[in-house]
Formats: sequence, structure tokens, C-alpha cells
Amino acid sequence: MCKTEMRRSNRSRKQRSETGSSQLSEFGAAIFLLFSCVVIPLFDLSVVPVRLGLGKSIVNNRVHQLAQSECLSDAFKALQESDFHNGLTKIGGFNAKSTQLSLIATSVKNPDQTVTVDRPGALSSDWLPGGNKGPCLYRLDLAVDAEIEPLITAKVPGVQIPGLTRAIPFHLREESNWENMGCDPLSGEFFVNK
Amino acid sequence: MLFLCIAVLAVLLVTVGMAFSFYLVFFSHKHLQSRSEDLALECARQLNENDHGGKINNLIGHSRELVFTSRELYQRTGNDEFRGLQGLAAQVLDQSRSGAKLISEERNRYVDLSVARMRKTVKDAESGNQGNLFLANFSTAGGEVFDLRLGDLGLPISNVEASSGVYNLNSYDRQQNFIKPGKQVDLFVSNVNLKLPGEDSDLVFELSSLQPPVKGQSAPLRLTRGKGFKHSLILRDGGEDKTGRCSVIPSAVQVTMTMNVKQNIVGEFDSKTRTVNTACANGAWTEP
Repeated sequence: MCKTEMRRSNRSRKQRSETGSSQLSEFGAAIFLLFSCVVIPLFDLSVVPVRLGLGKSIVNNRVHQLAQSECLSDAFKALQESDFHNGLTKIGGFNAKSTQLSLIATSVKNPDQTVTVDRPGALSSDWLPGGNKGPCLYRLDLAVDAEIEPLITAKVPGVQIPGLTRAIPFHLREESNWENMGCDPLSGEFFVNK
Repeated sequence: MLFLCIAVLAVLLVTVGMAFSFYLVFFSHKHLQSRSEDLALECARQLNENDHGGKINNLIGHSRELVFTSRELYQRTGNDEFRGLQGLAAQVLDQSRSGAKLISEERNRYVDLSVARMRKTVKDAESGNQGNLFLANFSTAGGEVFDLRLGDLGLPISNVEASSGVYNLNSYDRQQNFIKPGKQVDLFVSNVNLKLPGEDSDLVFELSSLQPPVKGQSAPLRLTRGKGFKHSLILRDGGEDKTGRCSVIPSAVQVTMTMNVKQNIVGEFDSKTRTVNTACANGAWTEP
């Protein structure tokens, strides 16, 4: 070996650390850990709040629309007839299991007193405008039981870990004030109970 | 390693940027929805402010009855017994007919006035950059009223009670299906020319579909889903102001608003959000 080559070899040995190339394998493990424990789970789960936000926005918008119906039976009918479940499914990874529409009447005089009805005509006269419990605040409530999937789900039979091996269950609930407080002039029934 | 960390951070920043853009699009849509609802309610309020529409409806109903009774009176003076009063009866008939025409003109004037006020409200809502929002590389601009339509919700009744005092007129109205029988009171139908029989059939008596009061309560101003909305006058179509008239006082208004959304956090994104809202005017009151 010539002198120049030996000098170059000594210089490169000085530049390298004492542990030498063993750092490379530790670095590889660090990258693996960074990706497998931080980056991928972060990406995997970061889609859940986005889907949840979208779902919540759709439910809120829907209940606001339903609260503007002419009468309560119209609201129930509209929910049954519409493709509300499909709308939620279109988000992707959002499975609506069940929906429940109900009307909540709250006494303004005594806010602790509330009554919830899940069908038209079920409000007693006490809770209607001009009734004993009145004045009341009427809110339409839409509750959705849903499951939101992360980007990747590892299906392991028998293991049910939300977010890892199965979708995360959520209970969405949105309310909107009932708009039509009038009374049907032909039948005499309040639209909020018709 | 440093390069990798920077790359991961950059990817995270892009993801957060995308999520933020999504959120801002939703936020701006919600903001536009709220503005559109406010505008629709404000326009609907002007349609029957201080129950002017309800009062005009009642005036039309009374005027119709007056023309009918005047005609009957005039016809009775045709025989020898009351011939001397025929001139007076003719004068009463003439006055009641001109009264009906005058009410019709006043109703048109009221509609024109409401429309002019509504146009001003729309201009006020559009001006002042209320919808403009600037945040980093995200901006919304416009909040323009794209469509504005006046009409009704297809409610077949008016607030005018059918009087049973004039028997002949009442039975004629029932024959013609001009009266909708109710549980408490019978009401005249709306948006139909309640033509009188015979020589007075040239007069137009058309009532607006305003909800009558029930159990002493008038129907409040409200937003509706717009199901069954039928327009009778288009004030703005595709962003352009339109002129026109309608023969009855409208009782509902439908507003379509659009807004431009731009962002360049992650690439260029230019979109338009759109909201449609319908509001119904407050119901009429009974006559004192």
C-alpha cells in the first residue's frame, strides 16, 4: 500500500466513531419504532376525528332541517324516507347502526322538568303551548349510534380492541329548536304534536 | 435522522393543514347558512309586518261581501215597490265596486313597497363584507344572494273567516268550494280568485295564504324546509335582479346564497358553497 493510501485510510478511521457501523443497526430500529409506534398509528387514528367531525356536521344539519318541518309527523316521515344512513356511509368508514329521533319539551319555569316523546301526538296537554307546564322550549333531538373505522384495522379473531382490531363506537347526539309553534286552523292541533 | 424528522414533521404539518382547511370549509358553510337564515327571516318579516297582509286580506273579504249585498240590493230595487230607490242602490253598488278596485290597487302598492324594502335588505346584507373571512392562506368572499323568490307554502287557506250572515253568498261559496270548513271556524281558501256570480265576476278577489290565529295565538315567523314552496315572484335569478309583480301578497320567501371559498395551504382549492333557506311570514291576527 502506498503512503498516500495509508494516510487516507487513517483519516477516515478518525472521522468514524469508536462504535463504528453498529450505530446503523440501532438507527434502523429507531426508524422502525418511529414509524410503527408513532407515524403509522398517528395517521391511522388521525382520520377518526375527521370522520367524526364530518358525521357530526351531517347529523347537525339533518336535525336542523327536520326541526323546520311543518309538523312532527312530517319530521319522522322525512327521516324514515330520506337516505340519511347512506349519507353518513358516504363519508367512508362511518357505519350508522341506529338512529333515534325524539322531541324534548323543557319547561321554561322549571328547567329541571322535561318530557321526551318519540312519536307524534304523545305530548300531553300540560306540555303543549298554553298548558300548565308552559311556556316550554321544544327541541328535536337526533341520536345516532355509529362506528367509525380508522384507516387500517387489523382483524384478529377474538380480539376486540377499538381502534386497532375493530371500529370505534360513538354516540352522536344533536339538537335543534322546533320552528313551527303554530296550530293547525282546520284540526285545532298544535303542529309540534301533530 | 434529522432529514427524516423534518420529513415527518412536514407530513404532519400538511395533514394538519388539510384538516384545518376542511374545518374552515365547514365553518364558512355554517356561517353562510346562518346569514342566509337571518336574511330569509328578515325578508319574511317584511311580508306581513304589523299584520298588514292579514288586514288587507280581511278588507278584501269584506269588500267582496259588500259588492255582493249591494248587487242584491240593486236587483231588489228593480221591482215597482222600490223603483224610487234604484238610483241610490246603483250609487251604493258603484261605490262598493270602486272600493273593491281601490283595495286591489292598495294591495298591489303594498306588495311593491314590501318588494322594494326587501331589495334594500338584500343589498344591505350583501354589502359590508359581512361574509369575508381571511385566515392565513384561507379566504372566503362574497356571500352573494344568488336567488330570491317570493311565494307561499301551498297552504290552501287564508285568515279570512267565512261569514254566514249573508246566506246566499255563503251557500254560493260552499257550492264553489271557496270555503274550507274548520273545527272552530270556516275559512276562505287562498290563491284562488273568489269570483262573484253574475255581473260582478269581472272583479278579482284573491286572498293571500296567511295562517289564521288559533286559540288566540298567531303563528310566529319561522324557518321551514321549503317543502311545497311555490314561487309567485322572482326578485333575483342567478344573481341578476328581476322585475315583476304578483297578484297576491306572498307569505313565504326562499333565499339561495353562495360564497367563494379559496385556500392554498395544500395546493390550490377554489370552491363555492351554497345554502337554500325558506322562511314563512308570521300569521295574521283576528279582527278587533
